[in-house]
Amino acid sequence: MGAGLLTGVAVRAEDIVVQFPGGKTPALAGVSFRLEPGDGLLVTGDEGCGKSTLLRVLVGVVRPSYGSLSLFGGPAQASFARRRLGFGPETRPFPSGLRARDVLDLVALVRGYPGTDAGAVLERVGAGGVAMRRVERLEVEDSRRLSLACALIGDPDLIILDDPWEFPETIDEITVARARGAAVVVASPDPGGFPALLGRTLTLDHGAGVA
Amino acid sequence: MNARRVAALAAADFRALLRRRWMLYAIVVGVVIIVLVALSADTSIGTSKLDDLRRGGASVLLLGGLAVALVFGGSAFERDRTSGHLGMMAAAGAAPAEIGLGRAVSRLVALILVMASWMAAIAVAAGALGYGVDARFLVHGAATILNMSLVLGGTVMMASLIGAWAAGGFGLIVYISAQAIVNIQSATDQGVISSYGGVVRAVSAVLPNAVVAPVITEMQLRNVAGPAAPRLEIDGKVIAVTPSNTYEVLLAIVWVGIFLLATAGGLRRRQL
Repeated sequence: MGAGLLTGVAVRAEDIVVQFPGGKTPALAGVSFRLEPGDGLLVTGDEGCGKSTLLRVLVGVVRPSYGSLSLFGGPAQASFARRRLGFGPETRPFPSGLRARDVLDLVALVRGYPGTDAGAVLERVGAGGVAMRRVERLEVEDSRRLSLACALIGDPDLIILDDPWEFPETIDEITVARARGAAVVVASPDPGGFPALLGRTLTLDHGAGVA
Repeated sequence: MNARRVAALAAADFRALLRRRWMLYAIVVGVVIIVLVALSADTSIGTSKLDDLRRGGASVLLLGGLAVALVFGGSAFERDRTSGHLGMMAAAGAAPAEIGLGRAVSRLVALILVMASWMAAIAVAAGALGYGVDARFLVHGAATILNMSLVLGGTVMMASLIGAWAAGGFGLIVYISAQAIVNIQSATDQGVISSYGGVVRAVSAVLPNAVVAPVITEMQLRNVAGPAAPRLEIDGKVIAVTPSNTYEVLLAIVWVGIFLLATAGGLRRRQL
């Protein structure tokens, strides 16, 4: 967080291979790319091509079977790297019973930003009105906005969005983030306006691709 | 392991549990059954009123506690893992061990809350029937909470490794084996079983024992304890299940701790 820290390579992925147990073919078959601060990257391809797997590798949920990945010049699992990374997940990964605000408070606490004003972050993404609404009662659109809000907590240096909707707020936040030096990775099966917004595209085909 | 993160994850899971209606239903259904038990006991004559209330209350604590422990433990991970929530927490920087421990702690607190509400209802019922605070039965209630904590611990530990139903099966085995150890140990101590005494004592000293309160032993001997402690006979000889000593209580607490820590380790092996 903070422009002063934005030096060096944000992401260096070299020949990433992910082979899930029991899988006949690798989910990722040698993916390489490099992101400098302020860079953007759209990851696209057909359903099942490995987009979400690649993002899960970047956020540390899936470990590569082969290849190397570094974030901000260090190991991807290092706590300093996690703290500088914001992730907006796909679908609705929010546990029923929590309010939208609770989800953001939880993500903020886990990421190490306990003083975050969750209401303000929701306002930024156009979801200020649903702060006290339980997540299972959110419209799909509001869920996608909440996902975007999760990624913005702490104004991270690397923003990773899995299948975001192309709201005006999404475009604004990506533009602003890149302008302040944050790298942005977006995975989407339907590129829409993202290629122009992000500058570079990585098209995956059966888990393989180079940006 | 970051204690602050574990506390945040536990608090969020507990808050979500509190807002789900079935937790409220568990509390309400238990309290309603206890009220009905108390009304039924009120129609009894003499000292059996207290026995009736204790028998009904012990049944609610045992059977209801088992159900709640198995459901809370078994459901700790599966749905949120499938939905991607656990992965989202891992992406935010929570270690799998922190997620596992946070969940286990919140489920344990929820179980204690539900069972404590039932115990409060039993205490109020005892007062309404004119027996004041039934301190002896409160000890039994605390013992049952500890036993159900063992069940929940075993269940949540297995739920971190395998599916919810299989985890529930393991939790049930934990309870059955803990109770069996106590029964066999009591039978050995009372000379009803003479073989393998050393093995029984060794197993009893290491594996979790079900914690038994004095009041339930006394009720069991009079055959008024109901499903919570049915009369135990071997070769026609009545076995008095021995009330737990301090070591056995501490052993059960240690095993709950072991299960919780193993839960933290278990989740590290799963794809979040």
